[in-house]
Amino acid sequence: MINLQITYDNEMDRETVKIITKEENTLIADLSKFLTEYKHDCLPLYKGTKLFVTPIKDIYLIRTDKNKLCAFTKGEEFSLNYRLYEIEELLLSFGFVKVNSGEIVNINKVTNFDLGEVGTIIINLDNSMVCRASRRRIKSIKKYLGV
Amino acid sequence: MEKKKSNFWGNLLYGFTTGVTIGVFVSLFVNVMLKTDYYSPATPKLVESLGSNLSTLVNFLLYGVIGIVSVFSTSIFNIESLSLLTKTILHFLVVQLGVFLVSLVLGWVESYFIFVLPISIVIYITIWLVIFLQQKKDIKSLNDGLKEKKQK
Repeated sequence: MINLQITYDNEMDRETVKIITKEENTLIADLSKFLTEYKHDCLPLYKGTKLFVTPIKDIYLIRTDKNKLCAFTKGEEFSLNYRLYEIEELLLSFGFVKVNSGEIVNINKVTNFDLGEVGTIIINLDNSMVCRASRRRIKSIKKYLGV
Repeated sequence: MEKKKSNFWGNLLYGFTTGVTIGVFVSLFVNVMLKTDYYSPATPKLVESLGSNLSTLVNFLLYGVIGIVSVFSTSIFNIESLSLLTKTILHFLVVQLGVFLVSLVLGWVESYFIFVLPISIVIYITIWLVIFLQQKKDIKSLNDGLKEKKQK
């Protein structure tokens, strides 16, 4: 656990984060990378142990896979250290909608909706990925699209 | 977070009362159609073996069981990994198995095959078609909405 201390100083002209550590380690490396590249519209994604601070608009799909959360960009797959409900709330204002119990889709990256295998609604994404919308989620997708 | 708490006892009561209510009306309808002198939900054979009161009680209890099976089997439609067609077929099989077993106990297997099964098939196909057409409509409005959003 990191001991977090926040100091408020009226004299500061720019926010500064100071890290005090005994030694360099991956946590500190990730933290410093995340903080230096941080923007409100980015997410910390991982490939193995390597951190990628990725613009949210570049994420197509977030999917749970064996209790792990994966994010898919145009051609790459990353893992995330969030829970699905946390990421759902976080990405709501960025055009992401939960389309079934395990997938959140960036509606801005949807090519079209299609009638798939009898009785299912298929969502085709711009990166050729396909996912399925459950009936109970259609309402929230429609609400986002304003139809 | 989104998981709804399932109301087991509520569903049980709802299934039972609905099953009994529908069963009573269907048996009343059958009595009217057969122009019987008095109302009896049970077949004459069952009345003969169990007596009037007990056979009526058994009938009502088993109508309730059909209702319970019908209500609980709707949870099949919550399985997101299955297609609508698979879920409908699975639901149909579960409910029909329940009704068939009840018809065996109550002694109206013949009527089950002549009336209940064909009517059930027609009802299921109709419901399935309605849902299917609704989905086609949903897809059209979703694509229209998407197109409009992308043009903005």
